[in-house]
Amino acid sequence: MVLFHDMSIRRKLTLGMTFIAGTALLLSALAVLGYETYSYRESMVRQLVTLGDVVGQNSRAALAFNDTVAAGQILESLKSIPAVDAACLYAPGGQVFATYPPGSASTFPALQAGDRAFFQDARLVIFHPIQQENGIAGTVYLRADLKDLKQTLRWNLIFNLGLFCVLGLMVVAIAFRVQRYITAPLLDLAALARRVSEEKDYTVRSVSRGADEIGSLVEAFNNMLSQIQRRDDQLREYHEQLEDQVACRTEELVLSNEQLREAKLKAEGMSRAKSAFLANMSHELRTPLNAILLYSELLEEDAQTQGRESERVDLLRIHSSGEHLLRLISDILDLSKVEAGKMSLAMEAVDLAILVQECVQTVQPLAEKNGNSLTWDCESGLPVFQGDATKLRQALFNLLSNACKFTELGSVELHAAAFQREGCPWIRIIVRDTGIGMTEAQQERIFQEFTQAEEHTSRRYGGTGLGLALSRKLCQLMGGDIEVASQLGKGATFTLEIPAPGPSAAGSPGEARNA
Amino acid sequence: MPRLLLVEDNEFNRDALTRHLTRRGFEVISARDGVEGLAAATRECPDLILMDMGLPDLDGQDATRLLRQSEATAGIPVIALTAHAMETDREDALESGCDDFETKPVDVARLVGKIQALLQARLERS
Repeated sequence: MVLFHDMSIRRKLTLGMTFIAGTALLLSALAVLGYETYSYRESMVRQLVTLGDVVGQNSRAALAFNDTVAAGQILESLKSIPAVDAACLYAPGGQVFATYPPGSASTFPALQAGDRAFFQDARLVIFHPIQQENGIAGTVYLRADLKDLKQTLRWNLIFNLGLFCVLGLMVVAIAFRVQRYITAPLLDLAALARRVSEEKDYTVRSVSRGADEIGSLVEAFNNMLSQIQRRDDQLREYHEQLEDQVACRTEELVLSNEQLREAKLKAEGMSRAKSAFLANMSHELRTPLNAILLYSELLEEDAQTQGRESERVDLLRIHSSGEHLLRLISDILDLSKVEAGKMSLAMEAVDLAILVQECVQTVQPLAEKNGNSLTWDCESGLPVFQGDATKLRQALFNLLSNACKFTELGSVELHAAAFQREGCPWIRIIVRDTGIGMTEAQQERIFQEFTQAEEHTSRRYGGTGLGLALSRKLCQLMGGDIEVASQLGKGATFTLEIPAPGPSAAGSPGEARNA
Repeated sequence: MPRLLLVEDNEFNRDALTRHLTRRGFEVISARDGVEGLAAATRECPDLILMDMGLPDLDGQDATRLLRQSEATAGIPVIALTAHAMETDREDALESGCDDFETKPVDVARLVGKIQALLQARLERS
């Protein structure tokens, strides 16, 4: 069954049709054979009975006259019929009267009454009574072999088998042709499906051969192909649109990248130009400032020696304003140098406690001016480290002077300590004041150049807003940073942290070199 | 009285610094540019020269190099005065043969300290 299941439809159909036609042929051949056998036997019986009747009529006289010789002669005439191999005449009493072949009386069976015909031991036997006006004159017995019958039946069988074979072949041929009507469209469809799946060609179509189920199948398949092709086309269209969009976007991106690069180059160029301009400007500004400072000093000395005290105070103010201006110019120059990447570190051995003390002393007058108390403490045992003292002093001075500037009648505290970060020595300097403080938004802005917490603070407190920006840049140059924590109205805490490598430590930040 | 040669192109700076140094007991000769400075140095043989680095025509560095090449002036100490525009100024000045370096605007007290230290060193050498 499994074998049948796995066969191709073509074979199944051919085999099925052949099986049905073959069975029909076989049954009809058997029927014909059976009928012919029957009718031939009937005809044999009829012929033998007729022969028996002829022999009986001819023998009536011999029986009436008890002439056995004449009866023997009559029986002897049966020689001309080869099928009859034995015959005899029974007297009405049942005794054998004459035999054929002669002298074989003992081999004949006992008389059986009536007209009888039957097959026995592959022979046909008849008993035929001889009728006359006053009863039965005797009985004829004939026995015929069945050679003819068998011969005829054998030929019949051979003929039928031949016919069966010929018809069978014809049936196979016809079945083969007929199945093609059914299988050909199916095979076409299968080949098409294979081609579609292998070549992804959805433009091909199967040819419909009628309105039967296979026709519907072909039509459904074609419809399916059409739908797939339509979707395929849509997909391709979407894909192309997408590619177009991607190409378009890429082009835009490339263009904007180009613009960005140009803008960046332009900005860098402008930044360099700005730095160069600031450097030149500060250089040019220093020359007249030098004269102002020198002359105000000369005059102040004169005023002092000549006792003109009021003049001296004014001249000191001119001098301190000049120095302030100088500091601003220096800050601008330093900032532009840091931004231009031209600022390098001058490393030397730094004693933090001394440096802090110097800065505090410098700022002290500023603290007193606003009525602030200025206190400081250094953790004991602060190590001497390699650092740029000038830049650290500058940053620290900025933090302290800012704290004093933005605090009135309060306190400014400085605390210095050493600590370890990732196994390296660092120092931390905290400057805490009780001044006006800042909002978070202001804290984000104060490290930008030319920015103070608010616009009006610069008018009220003075300064350019350069100090914190520069201080932070200097600390970052030294490998550290400055951070702020503050609340509006509750003072501010600035924390400065920088690496503090020992005198022999290698890999110190910037262009460190041993002193 | 130690004789100083001040080479400085800006008139006010030259004048003010000359007066400051005169008050502090120095005799000051001044020159307006590198060429004039070289001539004055050769002629006057000052004890020390204050050389502005940003001079017109012959700048301070080149003038110092020429001073060092001349036998008459080779031993005179030179202090460079610069506007400290660039970090490299200090190195350039020392490289050209200056003995010390002072940034402008000049801190007079500090400058006098440097002058005296160099004069003292020269005195000890001779």
